[in-house]
Amino acid sequence: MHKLSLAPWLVISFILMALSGCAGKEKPSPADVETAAFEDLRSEVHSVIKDPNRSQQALALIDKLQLSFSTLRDHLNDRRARMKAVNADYDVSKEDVVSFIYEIQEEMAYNQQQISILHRQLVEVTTAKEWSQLAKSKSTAMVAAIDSIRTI
Amino acid sequence: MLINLLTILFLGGTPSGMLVELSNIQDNIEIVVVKNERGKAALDVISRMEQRTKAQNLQVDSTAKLLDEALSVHDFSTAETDNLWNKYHAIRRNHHLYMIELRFELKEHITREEWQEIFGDG
Repeated sequence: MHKLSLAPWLVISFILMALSGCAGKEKPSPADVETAAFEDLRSEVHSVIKDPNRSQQALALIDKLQLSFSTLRDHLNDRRARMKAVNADYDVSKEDVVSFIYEIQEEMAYNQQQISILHRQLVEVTTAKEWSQLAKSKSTAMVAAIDSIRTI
Repeated sequence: MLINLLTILFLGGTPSGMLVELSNIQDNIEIVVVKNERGKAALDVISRMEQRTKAQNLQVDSTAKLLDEALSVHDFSTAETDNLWNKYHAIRRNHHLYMIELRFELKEHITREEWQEIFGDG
């Protein structure tokens, strides 16, 4: 009885809280978007991979992907700032700029090798059907997280 | 979404050239550099940078799509993904080297003070 009388009040409170939250909400930070995106991915892995052992292995790999994503964001921000500084230097030599670009390319090549390993490991812990389901899944947060990296 | 995530991580973000905000730079040149032959030559360099960047972006988009397809296959081929990476790496390297050449060509048309106004923090 008591529960029944409280329920509508609770529902209205939640709606008001949600609305007030939306009204004053600032744009989420890239880190918040990233967290939501990887939570979506973890939920998808949970739902698609029923075998608990393989599911755990896949989730551990998703943790590593999240770390790689976060590291990439930091590297891109740092690279952009360094690029701006190098370019602003009127006296910088062509050799120095080329050397800087090669340094970036080496970082990228190393990153690609690490992601290739993670990709292979993820494929190994999934069946073809599971991989196909994970490949097809959609997440607004993940799209936003990827877009956020693309704008750096 | 997993595939798009892997692709963006695999490629290490998206291409940012030597001069990433070309339209802003063009605006700055139009404001800072006197509208004479020198100013015209500077804008011509920026125009070539834009054309080259657009062409590069098309190549990158096409490689990213192929990579999306390759990574989405469970029985994927390492040789194929490596080949796409090497192609992407070469596109980026060539683009950067070309942009560096143009950056130094641009410098020939711009004084030290103008350069600072165009590329400095303000």
